Amino acid sequence: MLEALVKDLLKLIITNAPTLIPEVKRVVQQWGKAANAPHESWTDLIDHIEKDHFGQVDSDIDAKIAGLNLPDK
Amino acid sequence: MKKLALALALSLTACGAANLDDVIVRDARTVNNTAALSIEAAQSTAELLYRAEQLAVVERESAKPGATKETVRTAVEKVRSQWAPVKELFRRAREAQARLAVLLRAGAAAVEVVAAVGEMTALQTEIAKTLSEARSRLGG
Repeated sequence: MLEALVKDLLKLIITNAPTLIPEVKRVVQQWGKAANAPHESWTDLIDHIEKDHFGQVDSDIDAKIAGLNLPDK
Repeated sequence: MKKLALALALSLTACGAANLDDVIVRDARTVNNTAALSIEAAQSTAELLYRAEQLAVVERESAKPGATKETVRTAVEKVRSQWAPVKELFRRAREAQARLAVLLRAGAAAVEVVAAVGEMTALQTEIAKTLSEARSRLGG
């Protein structure tokens, strides 16, 4: 539940303040090391931060192509 | 970067030498706050252009005789590869802005602050240039 909340907050940051991403990444990395969290948990969070708006555009366009009335190949 | 440093130095001569560092840091704070907003605004514009360019390609390619999802996807991938350096520019600009913020918070020497401001503004100039090129591609 807490992880979901953190992810939602990170998404808000990415959406509204991409210039904060490097700072947030630094904080997440520090937290991960200080909390001795499993490597994959904070790596996952960092990946989440890195995924920017351009990635969202790609997903939207991919969905649009998939919905085209054309043969696959 | 050198031009900015020179401009800062010239503008500071009238302020007296005693508080040069204070003035540099004060001005750099303003530059940093403005840059954060302008990088975000530029990225929003870039995303709009990125989307518009891909949509235009999807429309054009899907209307061609013999078009398939694969041919459309290939054309879209070409657009994405053209944008890869732009995405990288934004990443570098955000990092440069974050570095400047860290330096300002840490009370770094004026010379370090000026170098960081120069790096960030050079990236912003490069971003503006690439966005202008993208607008031209879209005929805007």
